[in-house]
Amino acid sequence: MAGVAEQLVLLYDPNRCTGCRYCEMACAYKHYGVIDYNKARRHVIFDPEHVLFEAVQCRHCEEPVCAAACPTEAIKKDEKTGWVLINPMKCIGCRSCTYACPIGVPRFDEDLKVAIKCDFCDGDPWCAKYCSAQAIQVLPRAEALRLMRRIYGVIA
Amino acid sequence: MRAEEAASKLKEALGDKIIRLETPTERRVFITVDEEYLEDAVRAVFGLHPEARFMTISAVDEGLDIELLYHVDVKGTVVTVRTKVPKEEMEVIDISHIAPPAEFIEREIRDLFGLEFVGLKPDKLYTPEGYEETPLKKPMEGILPVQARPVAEMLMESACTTTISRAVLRKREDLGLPHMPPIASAKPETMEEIREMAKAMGFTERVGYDVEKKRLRYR
Repeated sequence: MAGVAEQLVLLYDPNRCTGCRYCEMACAYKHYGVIDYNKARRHVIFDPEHVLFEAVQCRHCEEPVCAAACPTEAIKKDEKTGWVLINPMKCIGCRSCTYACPIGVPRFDEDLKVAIKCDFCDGDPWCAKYCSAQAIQVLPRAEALRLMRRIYGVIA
Repeated sequence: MRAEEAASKLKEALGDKIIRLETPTERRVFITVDEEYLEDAVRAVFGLHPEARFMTISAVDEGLDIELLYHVDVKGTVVTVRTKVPKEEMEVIDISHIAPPAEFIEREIRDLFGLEFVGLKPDKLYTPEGYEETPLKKPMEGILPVQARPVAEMLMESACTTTISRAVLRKREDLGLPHMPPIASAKPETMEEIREMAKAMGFTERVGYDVEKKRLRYR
């Protein structure tokens, strides 16, 4: 079993992002077979204050709040991979996770009537694959944390 | 990376495969390659730097060919690979295995121009299923007007576009010259030279003359 530090996560570097939104297109295409930004499970927004693009994407938290808020235990953190996944067969569509997540990643799918969020594309995230600017990278959690601190200027 | 540096590295990597290499500004490189070397050229461009970023593909319908321009940002310098796909073929290699984001652009081009990318998924991007029109594809037409087309073909076949009038024939007779002047088309080596000259001057490409089939690509 991989340790927490070795578990893969997505790292977003706003300094490299060009705002092309290919990641959103790829995400929607992978999961729904259509090019629809609204169906994407990650979003890129423009931050006018810092004049940067910023991504709203699942961090696959070490202690996921969405899972804690789920009344049916439909959201589980996979112990092996560290990915926080929603079981659509258990989800009752109560939207608790959408309110609990501090950055609003889970979204209620009006068609499927369940909550949806990033499932890490079974280990090969399409958002990272289609990001030609290499603003999205798949890295072990420890390395991603180190880079995040450097990107955002946080001294640990 | 400056354009000159990128250009010299591409020259080294591709050699004779490059038809034309231009660096109009210090941050812009254009390389023109034949369609068969497109993959090599795109690989070479991505090989310039590990952080080379695929930007987009532009497709231009030039009448007889579809011109494709693959734009890649190499650390601030935009390198464009230019190639032409003849409309008789309408097939080109898919580069999404080198640059995955190219897939969406290729599908868009296929929807709008009808150009097939070999190896690309058959899914459409914009146009609905069952819609087979290609809205941005123009009819296959060259620059020559209808009345000039036989003249151009005659020029390339016989190196002569006019007939000799009776007055000229009479004059030749009076001067004691042979009835007919020497004809270029009678000598294969002369015709070959003329075709080479037409090719070197860009005449064949410009008017769309197929040297092998000995006729214009459009009628």
